[in-house]
Amino acid sequence: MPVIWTEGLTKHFGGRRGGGPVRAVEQLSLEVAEGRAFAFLGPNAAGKTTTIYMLLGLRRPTSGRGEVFGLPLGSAEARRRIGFLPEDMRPKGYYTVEKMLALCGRLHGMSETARAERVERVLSAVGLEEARRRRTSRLSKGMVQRLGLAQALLSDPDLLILDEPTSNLDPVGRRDMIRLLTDLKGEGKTIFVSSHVLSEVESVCDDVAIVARGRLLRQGSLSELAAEAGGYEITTRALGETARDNIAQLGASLESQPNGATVVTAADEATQQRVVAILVEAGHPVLTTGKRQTTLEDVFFQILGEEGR
Amino acid sequence: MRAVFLIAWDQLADFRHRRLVLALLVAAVSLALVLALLAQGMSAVSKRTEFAGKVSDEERMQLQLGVGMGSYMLQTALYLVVFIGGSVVSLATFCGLISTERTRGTLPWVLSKPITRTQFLLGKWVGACAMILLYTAVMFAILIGSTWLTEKSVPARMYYACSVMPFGFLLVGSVGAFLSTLMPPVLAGVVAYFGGAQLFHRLADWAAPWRWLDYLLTGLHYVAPSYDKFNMYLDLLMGKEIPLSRPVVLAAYAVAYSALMFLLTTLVFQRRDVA
Repeated sequence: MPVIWTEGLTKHFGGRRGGGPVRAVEQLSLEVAEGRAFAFLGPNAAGKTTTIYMLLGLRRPTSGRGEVFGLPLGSAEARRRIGFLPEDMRPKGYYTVEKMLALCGRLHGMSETARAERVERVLSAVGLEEARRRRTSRLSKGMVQRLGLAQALLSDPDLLILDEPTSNLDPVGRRDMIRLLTDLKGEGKTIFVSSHVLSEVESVCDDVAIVARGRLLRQGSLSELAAEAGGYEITTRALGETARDNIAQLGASLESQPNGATVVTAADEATQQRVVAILVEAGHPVLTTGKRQTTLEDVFFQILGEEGR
Repeated sequence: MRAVFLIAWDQLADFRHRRLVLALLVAAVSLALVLALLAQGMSAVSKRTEFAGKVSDEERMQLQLGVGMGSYMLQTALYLVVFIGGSVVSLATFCGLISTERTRGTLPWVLSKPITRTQFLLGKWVGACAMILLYTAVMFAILIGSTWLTEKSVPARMYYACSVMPFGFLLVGSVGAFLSTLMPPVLAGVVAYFGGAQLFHRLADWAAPWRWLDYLLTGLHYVAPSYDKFNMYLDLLMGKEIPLSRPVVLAAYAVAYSALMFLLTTLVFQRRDVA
């Protein structure tokens, strides 16, 4: 049974006073398996935060349905097993770090001893031990983000939902966050991360969903998407008009490099072989050929580019 | 239930950092203390005997009567300040219960914890009620203390009038809380305070020539909360006895009406996007 499951989840805003409704999320169907690290990616206004809020029951879906741990969206029982870090963490300014965590622990129904033990552990995990008696209004943005993560981790949840976890963090903080997420994944936690910073997500996540304008564009494992987006690369010297046209007709893309070389990207192996044949026939040298090394960023931009077309 | 008390306790801690509520509390208590002291002063003056020989007996009696009346009026004014101040404090307390959290952006992480929205709202409500009780306790002490010092006894009507006050505050506050889910909190406070049954009664009189409007306003008069019944200053001023049944009925009415308001607020809050 997936930890998170949604079917046709839709959220529209407004639309009463002239103009159509804002379609924040449209027919979103997702599945997040247990123990996986799931990256939920998309540009700004893609509907990532709205989706997360619907999973937590903070926003009501316009239509569609979903479950978290087999329970309906917004169920308090499901939230008992969820740790959530909001994108813009805003603690109550008059609490100290320790008192705020104590309040969170009490809301989770933790016993006094369990709470004390967990507070120590999460403060150490996020590096806030020295700020424990500081008022949250006196914390830097990065420290507030760490506190947000601490309160999310406090109840030792089975599912972590993190909305832009590395925003407001300096490079050291980002590195620490990635390490922490990797450790949590190692402990078998299910992690659902929404982020813009693709390189960081790539090092932690197993599965990816890419959304834009509220719609799910692609979902799959990182390796599947990389293979799909990867293709084959052939490097040659500058090409004549005829060769260019012939290659373009195969659906391969050509990119001229500053050093005078041309990189041809073919979608599959058969196209790659045809491109090589055209080059050989036209007397152009084949400098290199092979599978293209793709990053999550390549996948992301390629899928967004396809959507744009 | 534990979660409800946690939220209530958190709400009480929150009030200590809400400037508007604190300013209103300090202003109301200060004004009440000043009036109580003035009433004491006048009462003391009215009992002094050193006028003897300096003024005629008739003038002395008139002077003492006037000052004594003044003291009595001040006692009534004190009651009014406590009543109106309490209503305003209650509105400031109740109307900001959700909107303050929304403005501060704390709702997403608080409501991501395993608590239901009803528990959250009930906790907030209990916290606000505790605040009102605190206010009433302080003002009760000032009012009763001042009356006892002036008259060396406290009539039953004063106890009854005071005991019904927190229910009046609860009533106006709960109406404000409900309205604040539909409109900005300040507007909700104003509408809740002035939109009582009495207003619709007056408007119905004015709208008598237009029958449909008259019917509508008369209907609203019966539906809207009756705050004026909770203000017993006229009975105190006139020295009229208040039967025990009156505060009992009023308390029951306020509790029932507030429960209805809580239910409506919960229904609206359940359906709303909170983040």
